Amino acid sequence: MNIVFINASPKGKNSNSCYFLELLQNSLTKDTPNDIIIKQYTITSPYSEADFYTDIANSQAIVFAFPLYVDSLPSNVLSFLRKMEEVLTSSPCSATVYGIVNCGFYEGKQNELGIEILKNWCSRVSLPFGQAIGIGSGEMLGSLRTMPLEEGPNKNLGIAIQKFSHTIFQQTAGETIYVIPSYFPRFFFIKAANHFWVKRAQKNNLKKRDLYRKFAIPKNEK
Amino acid sequence: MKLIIHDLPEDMAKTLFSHHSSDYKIISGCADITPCTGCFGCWVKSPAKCCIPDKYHNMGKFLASSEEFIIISRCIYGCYSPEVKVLLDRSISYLLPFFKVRNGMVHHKLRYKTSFSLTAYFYGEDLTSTEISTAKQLVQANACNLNVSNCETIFLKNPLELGGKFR
Repeated sequence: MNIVFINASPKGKNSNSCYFLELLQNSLTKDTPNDIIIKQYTITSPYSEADFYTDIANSQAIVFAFPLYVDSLPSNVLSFLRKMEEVLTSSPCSATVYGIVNCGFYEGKQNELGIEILKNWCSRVSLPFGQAIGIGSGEMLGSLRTMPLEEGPNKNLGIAIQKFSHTIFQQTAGETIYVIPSYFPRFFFIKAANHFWVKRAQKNNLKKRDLYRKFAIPKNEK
Repeated sequence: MKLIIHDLPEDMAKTLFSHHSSDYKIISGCADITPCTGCFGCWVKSPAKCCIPDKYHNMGKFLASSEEFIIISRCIYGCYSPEVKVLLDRSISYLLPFFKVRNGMVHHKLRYKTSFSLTAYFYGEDLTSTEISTAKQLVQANACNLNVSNCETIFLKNPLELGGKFR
């Protein structure tokens, strides 16, 4: 089985999207390493378009991974999909499309529109849509890479990746799987995330109050 | 101020906006604009201002200065065009990084106490009912995240139908 992974994160190889693809690759190749050939492309890194479209044409599954930006896809991913649409209208491809969409908000459900947009793209290019995972708390789960997937807040993610890889391997379709961190209530997530921003700002020699900075808006401009 | 962001070709933009009043600030996304890289610099490095040093680094300020926000975009896959989306992605300094629960889900806290109305004009000849539905939900989601006072989504076959609207 030939699978193309498309890491469509604007952050490229240092992204959480890339990490989630890595987890999927581990799951897909765990039991049947010789049956699966995965080609991975990162849209922000240089690659051969000829090789890319050859791999797409020869694939049975395409897996997109990207973060949610302003409730939908980052602008560079939209440009990429539009370009792919142009090529795919004249080049044969029958792969099933899968998606991993992650957002910084707690609820995986907030990725729903990003997934819908990917499905709408599939309709435009006449490719079947298989399944998606909508990962909430993406920044947090992406920072727990050293914790086993069977444990702690990672548990839901581990189960989702396992189910998702099964769907891909069977080349079937399934309902969207939405992920929130396990054993990690929302109020605690908000507390931890708000603390995270302050810590991150401190590395730039900023205090918490600096993060509330505003531009003065003259009254006549409003 | 009334802020318009759009993806219209130059000649069409000239036709539509030629007699606009000084109330309007009009920004085209058709230039070669550097996309947001998700660095979060506008939250934790230079709060309220995007770190990419070009003329689009103040999108958050423009939103805060607006009483009306108007988006004119081709509808692609039920989303904004990349040309309009790049401007929205560069606007997140309008919000704070901190989270709170609003309308039952986690959203960013507001940096400014002000709010604006949002009108999204989507255009396209052959939009499917699913794309129209997705686009409507997207504008609603944006309105929730940006604390919009009221919002409207309008679909057009051709943006020239807006002729005479912005004076």
